[in-house]
Amino acid sequence: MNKFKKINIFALGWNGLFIIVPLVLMTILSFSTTRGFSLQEIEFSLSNFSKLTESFYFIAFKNSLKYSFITTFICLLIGYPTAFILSKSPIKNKNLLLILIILPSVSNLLLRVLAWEKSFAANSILNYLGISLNLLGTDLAIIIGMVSIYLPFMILPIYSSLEKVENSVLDAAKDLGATKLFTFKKVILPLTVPGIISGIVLTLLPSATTFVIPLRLGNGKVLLIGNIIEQSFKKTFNFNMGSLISLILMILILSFMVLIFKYDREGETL
Amino acid sequence: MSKKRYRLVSPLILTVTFSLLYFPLLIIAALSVNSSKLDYKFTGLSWKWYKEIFTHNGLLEVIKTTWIIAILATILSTIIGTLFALGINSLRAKKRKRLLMLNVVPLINADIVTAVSLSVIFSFLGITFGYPTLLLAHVFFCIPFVVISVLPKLSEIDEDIYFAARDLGMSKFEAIIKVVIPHIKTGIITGALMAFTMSIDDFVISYFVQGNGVNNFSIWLYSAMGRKSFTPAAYAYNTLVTILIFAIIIFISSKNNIKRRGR
Amino acid sequence: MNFIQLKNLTKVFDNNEAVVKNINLTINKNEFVTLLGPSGCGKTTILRMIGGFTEVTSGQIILDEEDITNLAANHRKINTVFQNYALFPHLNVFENIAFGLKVKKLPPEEIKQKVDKVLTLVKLTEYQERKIKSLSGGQKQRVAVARAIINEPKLLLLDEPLSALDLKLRQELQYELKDMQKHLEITFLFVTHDQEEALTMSDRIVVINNGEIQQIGTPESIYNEPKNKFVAAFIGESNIIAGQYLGSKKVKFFDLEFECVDTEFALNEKVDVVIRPEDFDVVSSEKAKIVVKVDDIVFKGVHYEVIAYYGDFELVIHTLEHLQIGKVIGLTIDPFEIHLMKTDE
Repeated sequence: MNKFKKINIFALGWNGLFIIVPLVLMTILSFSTTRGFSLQEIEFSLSNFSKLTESFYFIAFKNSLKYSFITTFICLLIGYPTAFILSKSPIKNKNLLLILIILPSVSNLLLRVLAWEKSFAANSILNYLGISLNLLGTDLAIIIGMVSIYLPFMILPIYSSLEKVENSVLDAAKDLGATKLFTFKKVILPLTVPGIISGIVLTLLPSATTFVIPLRLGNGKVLLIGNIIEQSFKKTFNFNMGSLISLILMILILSFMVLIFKYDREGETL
Repeated sequence: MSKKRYRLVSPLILTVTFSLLYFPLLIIAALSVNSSKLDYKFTGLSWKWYKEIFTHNGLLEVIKTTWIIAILATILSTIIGTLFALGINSLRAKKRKRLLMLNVVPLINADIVTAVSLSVIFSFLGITFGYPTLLLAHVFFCIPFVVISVLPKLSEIDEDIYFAARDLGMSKFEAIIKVVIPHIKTGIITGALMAFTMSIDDFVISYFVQGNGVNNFSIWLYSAMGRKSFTPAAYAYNTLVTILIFAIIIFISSKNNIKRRGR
Repeated sequence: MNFIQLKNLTKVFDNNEAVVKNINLTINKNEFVTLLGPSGCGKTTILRMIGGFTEVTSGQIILDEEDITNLAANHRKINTVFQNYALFPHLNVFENIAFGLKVKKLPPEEIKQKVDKVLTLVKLTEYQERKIKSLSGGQKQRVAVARAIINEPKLLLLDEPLSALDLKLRQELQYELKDMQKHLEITFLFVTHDQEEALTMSDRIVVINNGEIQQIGTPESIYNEPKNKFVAAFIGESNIIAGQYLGSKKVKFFDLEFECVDTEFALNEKVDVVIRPEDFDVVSSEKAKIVVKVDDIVFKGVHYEVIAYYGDFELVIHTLEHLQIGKVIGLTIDPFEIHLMKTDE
């Protein structure tokens, strides 16, 4: 349907304006210390880059890596078996199972974090069940919160890649003498790599950049990259530093994207 | 793994997964019917927070904003996203992949980076922060959801049906509306539903492009959390919305299921 | 030499639908047997039960004197060539073929040696590094066969392996498969809905309809002596005419008397008479008992297909002669070409 090719010019313009132009603007802001957006007054400076070495930023990057890696690892550990069990389920209406995984994401994210916060407190509604978690401010609280919120992003792409593995291919493995474990290791696992990669990226990114979860469940003591960006744009109005950090993130993210599309040509597992 | 062990382990894993996913929803639901405003005390069942949704100062206002933005953003992003998908579908190989990648950047990108990008471009263009920026931002991040829902349906259909329709005397517009759209309807509906869900719940991006006192539910919540201005009516509202969207999803999916069985 | 035995094999699905009913079949060693029938007749289910992919409801499967009815698929010395090949998309040609040997944990040198040999056999040596995606249908088919036979199975199951290929390639591969079977000395059980394929390749054909065996026999006997209307109609084209056996090698149809060669019928028993279109001889109308009027003619390459009417009864005739539409002609039939069958009722 070549008639629709013209639409691409508009799509290109739209995405150019909201994705590419901001990248350029953020790059300019990163190389300057001038407050605000008047480009005439911009002065070239590398001082933002030298600030990056300050321990404040270093700790935030380290925290982001730490929490997001642990979260992603746990999500993979729980998510893959969950997706596997669901895909093997004898239930005919598999959509229903998927809906059950997606449904919690329909509930407001901030409120779900708040619900964890209230439950982790020493005095909570759970006291009526004889439980006092008293976890607020601990690493465990932050990790549980992150896993709870981002787990569906791991399960769904893995599930959809599992569904794509054809039954006849599994029959063929069985036919050739493979045990269930052998089939899993040599056939199912390699065929679901695209789903695993999408799942990892979709879990890693938001957990590394969230600012609400560490703020609420870490009692404000734990800083992630997201918290720094939030502070620079909403509190200290240092757009330059915020832009620089966002830019670094963006570059990391774009390389992740190239990775996804290398394995998953149509972005089908997203 | 032996069959026996699989049967033992799988309920365990599902229990962990579903507890992690549903625990917060249960707490929210419980707090929404708690007669006390203190969230660590359960003083009995009450519907008063459900009533307060409509009387609370501020809450009703942000709910209105949230819904207006969500509905408008859904309509606009569904139309634009479907067109984008048609455009991408007309391309082949490398070009197709590249444009698809560009289109789904907001989907993979961290919310906060999209938020910063939009806030920077809106400031640069001098757009007044408030309704216009909120709506534009929401349309922007909803479009990819429509694109990825519609595109697979488009690549499934036989290109020739469009030409067959043209061959049989339909205009371009008629061919799209009467032949192409019905084929990709389920994709469009899924996309619209995803867009609506994303828009109604969005916090990070809205928070960065908000201004002039125009707030949505999430932004209001962020500033009210742990403060006196917070009201458990928020739990009540959220529970209602969750049930509503759940019902819509179930309705659509069961309708699709019946249709599929009918064939 | 009852190498494979199916005893009262039955499959009833969850919805109480019996798709395979009480099948009894014996296959000899090194035999090429084809299950032939229309789609949905149960032939693939029989194959899947032998392969171990579908549970048996009742009955027994015996392979080389061992009851394998409840043995898991991966423990059966049987391999399968699947309908859509079911190749592993993430492995290349070599790795696909080597899969079964890797399961057995053979040393890499031995695997390489064996795979090389099979690659030569299926003429894919230059393609061993290729991704499955980049292969043509015919090449995929060869990989699927190679992947199965490398394990030296006692029995090779082939589930419509040629159905996705175009006519020319299909014919080419039919001969190759037949050659391979003779050369390798493996018993082949082949499933198809294509009667021509079955006639070309098989030592014996098992015709199946509605989950039941209709007839078992060599291609010649199935074609020349169909046991019932279904077999006669399904294999080749035929004219089936209601008749009556008059005893002493005489049969009556079209209210005319003919000589025939069949004897195993009772006096005055009602029978179905089968006459293949190519068995009619066209003569001038005064020289024959059957006089028909030509209604339509289609050129088929070697011969003409003629539709002619004897009264209201439509007959299909294959002839080399070019006839005129509307012409009245006579038909004669040699006695040995008149085949009688029991009526279905």
